Amino acid sequence: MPSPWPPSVCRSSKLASGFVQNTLPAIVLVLLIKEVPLGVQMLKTSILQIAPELEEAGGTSGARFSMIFRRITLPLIAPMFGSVFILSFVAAFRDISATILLVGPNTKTMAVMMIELAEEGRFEATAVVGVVLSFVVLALTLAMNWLRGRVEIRG
Amino acid sequence: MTDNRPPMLEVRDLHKTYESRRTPRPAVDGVSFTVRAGEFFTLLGPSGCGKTTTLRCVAGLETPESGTILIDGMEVYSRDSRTQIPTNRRDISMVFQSYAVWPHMTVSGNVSFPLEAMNTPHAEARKRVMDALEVVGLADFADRPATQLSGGQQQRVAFARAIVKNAKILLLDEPLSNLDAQLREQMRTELHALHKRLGTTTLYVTHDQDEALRLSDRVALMRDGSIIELDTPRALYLSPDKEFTARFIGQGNIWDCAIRELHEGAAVVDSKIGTVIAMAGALTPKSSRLMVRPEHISLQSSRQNLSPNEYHGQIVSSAFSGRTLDYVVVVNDMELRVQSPSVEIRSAGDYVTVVLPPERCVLLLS
Repeated sequence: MPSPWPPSVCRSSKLASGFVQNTLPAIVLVLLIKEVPLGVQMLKTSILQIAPELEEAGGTSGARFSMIFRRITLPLIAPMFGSVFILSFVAAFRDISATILLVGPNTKTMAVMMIELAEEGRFEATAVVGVVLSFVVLALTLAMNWLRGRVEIRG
Repeated sequence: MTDNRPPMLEVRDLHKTYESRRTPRPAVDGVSFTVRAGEFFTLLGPSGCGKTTTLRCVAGLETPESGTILIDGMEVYSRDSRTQIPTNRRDISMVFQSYAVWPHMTVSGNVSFPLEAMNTPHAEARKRVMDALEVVGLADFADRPATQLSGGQQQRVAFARAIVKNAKILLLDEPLSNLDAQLREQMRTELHALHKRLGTTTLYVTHDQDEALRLSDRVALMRDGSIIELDTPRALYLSPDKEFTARFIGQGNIWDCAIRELHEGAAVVDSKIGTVIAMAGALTPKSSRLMVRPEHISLQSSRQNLSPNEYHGQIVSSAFSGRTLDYVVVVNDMELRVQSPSVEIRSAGDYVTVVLPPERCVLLLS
């Protein structure tokens, strides 16, 4: 069946797919692109929520910018960092739509593995993977809630 | 008494306008003052008068448009010589209105931070932190997380953090306004004792006139970005020059008068209630406004023969508030507010003799 695309597009996309298909960096890259915007927004909000006086008090205490950032700003947003990490990880962990086209025999995510097992009709195996996946996600979500709680206590 | 001490902080012709406003109105508009070593100096004024902005310029948290700021003779800001020393290299420490205690550190972690920033040796830092906590009465709380403290205790941590540095100037931005009334009263007394003990030059910002009068050596009253009047608390209260001062600090009966005779220190003026002998400052215009504070007027039983500064009056209302009674007395169709101690209680309708002490009748510049 003839390709609907002009030959130049076919050639370059083939070249590109040669680089990315079946490799781990490809999956990492795509998931990063997908999850980073939300994470950045969450971090931005948490930085904005730090009262400016907390950093100004560092300055009037005699600390330079680098010390203020290291000793005051970073520790204050650290719980949010953890929270963003877990949220992105959970989303990436169960992602199918972006990864399914990129996985190869040696780089398979659990979510994609479930689909493949289901296609083969091995439903017991599918369920086992599903249960493992659910427990990991549950554990991480609980960890995130714990971190969030700490953020709130700190006000 | 204060005048022979060397100047510790000099602010000259400071200007600052916030750019974000659509119609820029200067927040600080030509403020100049000098604070001498060891002095407790207060910037007092209603909200939005520029007092906090002035303080933040001294701290280096805001950049003024023009003017000069000197700390112990050293320029920390000057537009002319393009000097702008960053906050962390100015010899100051500051207590914020919101305390700004770092929630992720312990009490001693908070207090030792300024010493760590100065690279103080560990053993010495430890001793100074404990000394500072001792001063504010929190020595037993050193290892507590800062979040487990009450508002008053957080305030003390902020004070300890400010005094541990031994900075030349202590900047206090409404440090008591977030406390409840009882605690504020207590902290005010402690702050007064603390200043007596440490003798640190202090620049204090508040909108609370009681605090300003109680704590300060001198007070600068500000409005709309300028200093309206600058004097000792006693002079500001007892002999203000401006009507704004008379109204902002304490209460006052203020009415128009015309000056008939002017003598050394005293003046005879005509006004609605009759002839009044009043204090006259150095500058007294022809017509002026007369001010008498309610608690300086005394009421006596009605009598026929009146001496100067005594008037016939009738009480039209009285309000009892425990320590004092607040009367409204009508003298010649003019209402005067009078406040008397509750030792003698009069009621509405009583005829009285109203006595205005001449040394407490103040002529204001209109």
